[in-house]
Amino acid sequence: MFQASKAIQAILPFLYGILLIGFANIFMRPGLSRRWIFPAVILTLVLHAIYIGLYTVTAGHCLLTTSHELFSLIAFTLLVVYSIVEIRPTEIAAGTGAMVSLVAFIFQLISSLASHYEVKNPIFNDPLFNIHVTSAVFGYAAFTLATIYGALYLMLYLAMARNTYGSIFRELPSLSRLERLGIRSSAVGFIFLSISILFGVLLINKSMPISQGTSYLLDPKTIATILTWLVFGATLVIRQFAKIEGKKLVIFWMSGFALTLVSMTIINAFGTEYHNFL
Amino acid sequence: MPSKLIAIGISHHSVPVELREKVAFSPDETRELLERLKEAITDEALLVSTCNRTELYVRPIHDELSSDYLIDFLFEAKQIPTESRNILRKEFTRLSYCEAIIHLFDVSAGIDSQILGDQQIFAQLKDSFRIAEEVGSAGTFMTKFAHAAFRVAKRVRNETDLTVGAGTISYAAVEFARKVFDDFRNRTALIIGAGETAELAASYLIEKKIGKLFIANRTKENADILLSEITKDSSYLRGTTLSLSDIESVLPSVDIIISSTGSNDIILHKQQVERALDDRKNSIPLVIIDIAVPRDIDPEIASLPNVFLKDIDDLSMIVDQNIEKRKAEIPKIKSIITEEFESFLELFTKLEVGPTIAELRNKFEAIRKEELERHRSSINSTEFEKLDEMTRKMMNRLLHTPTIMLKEPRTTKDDLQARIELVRILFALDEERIEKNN
Repeated sequence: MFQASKAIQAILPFLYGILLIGFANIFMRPGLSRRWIFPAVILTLVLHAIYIGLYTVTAGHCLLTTSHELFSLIAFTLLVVYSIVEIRPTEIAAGTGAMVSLVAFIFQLISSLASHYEVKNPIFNDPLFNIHVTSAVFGYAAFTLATIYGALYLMLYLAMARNTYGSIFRELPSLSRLERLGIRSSAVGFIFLSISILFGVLLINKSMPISQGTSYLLDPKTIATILTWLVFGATLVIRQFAKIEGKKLVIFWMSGFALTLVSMTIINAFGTEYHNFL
Repeated sequence: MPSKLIAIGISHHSVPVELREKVAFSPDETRELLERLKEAITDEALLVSTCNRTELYVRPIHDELSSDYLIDFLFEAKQIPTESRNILRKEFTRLSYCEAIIHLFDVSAGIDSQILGDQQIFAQLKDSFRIAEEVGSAGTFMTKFAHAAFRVAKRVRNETDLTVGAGTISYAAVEFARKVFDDFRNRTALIIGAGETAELAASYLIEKKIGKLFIANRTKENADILLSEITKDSSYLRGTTLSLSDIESVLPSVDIIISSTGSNDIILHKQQVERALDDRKNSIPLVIIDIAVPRDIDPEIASLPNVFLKDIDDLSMIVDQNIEKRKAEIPKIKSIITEEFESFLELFTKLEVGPTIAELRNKFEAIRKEELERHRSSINSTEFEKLDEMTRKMMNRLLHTPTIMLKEPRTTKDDLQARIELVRILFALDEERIEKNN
């Protein structure tokens, strides 16, 4: 089982690479057939899911304990969320697919190049913890995807404003569709991050009853996550009620991703006490 | 024997619209012409008449039928005065056999259209064929010919990028708006002007199911005429007309503005759009397309946030790029046409040579039987059977080479015709028929 998991781990970057080449080719040469892309995405997802399953059984924990493990989970969740939000057998917006598969390819390549870490911390065996972190990764992947849609929106907007009618104008979906897909991703991310926060609260209550203080609320990682959650939540609310749409809304939700980046990098490295498990 | 295909036609390549319209046929006139042709000279004919071309494809009964006769037939049907006939006659293209086949394939593919890749012609060809079918002038040959042309059009649409992107300014305007809003059903558009370009743009918007359409014009009656014109064949009921002075009242609700008037003055000013943007209930982009020359829209509007203002030069860039891309597809299309031409030629050859081969074999068989009968009394039955067998084999061997020579597909139809005629002369097939008829 361990050998099988290692073999799939080695194959995965190639599969993501093939998706990247396929989507990029379609983007550059619109006449090419797109029929094979949908099965290729499904195959990649199935193999990746098998890898996660095998790894969890053999290692005794999910892909959560190191950055390298997390990178693989991010690549997987990114493709899952992309498939939920956009991909259909008959209609594939190649521009967004190229961006998504590029990011997923980089994450999976880095992950596959590293040997995974053997962990001792018993918290990795706690189901609450696994749900908490996995749903957080799904949430962040969805926010990443929303940001990709946002970036494509701005690229197309600029191309149209500057009369640049090349591949970006020709191949990307319309501004309103990109906005819609971004909103959908934000909604998916918001739901997963809400689940993650909920399970985080349950986890803390279990290990640190409220009588022992609420200092974990001031943990920078917690604050950044709550802020990110609020920004994406607000994105959904203001679109619905304040009728803010278009470029303004895109820039607003992209600011949420900036917070995600801060949370994932600087705070992870230096600032968090409660979210350090290794 | 009916072995020719003649095509005559006049198109945008050779004559301006003032002359083309003289020989343009309405569906009723087309029906009438085909019926008259059927009575007079042919069982099989197809007339394609659009704003850009009038072309007649005929498979005549008599070999003597000339292109000029068909041209005169058209003139007669349209009652063209003699002086105009002389001018028009020179501009007619005359094609036969392969040239005619390839020409119709070019037309159906959209590479002979005024706008390269225009797909309207496909529907027009289908209509023309439907009329020919109704009249009964689409026989086996014409049906197969038309279906081959439809197959070319379908393959070009499916296998090449000839139809990708906008090919006209009006369509480019709508395509640009579609890059902002993919679904027009909940959008509102305002067309300013009631001329031809405005009509095209409005038609495209209705085709894309625009939620609501305002048409504004200095003379409101012309806007009314335009609206009724573009909605006469559809069930579209969400169109409203207004005069130019009323534009500002609808501006806040509008998402797309396409302007194309003949005015020398600015029609839409920056302040008007600024006020409209303030009154809008959302912050989605406003698309303003100015197709007029001189321009109708204040260029300063481009500086307003969340507004895309495009003029005819901007849209020309889209169209030019698309046309360049379409041109690059021509070699691919030509090879599709060649494939379909060869396959049709094979079929055509079978249709053409079939009767000649049958007549040839019948004649040989008749001679063989005649000679056998003459000797029946002088030989016994065993010998007769042997002789029958031997002469049949001999006949088959003798006819093998001319049959193969006739059936073998050639690259040009004229070769085939010459071969058929040669065989018919050598073996006096036509004389036999004449004698029989007498």
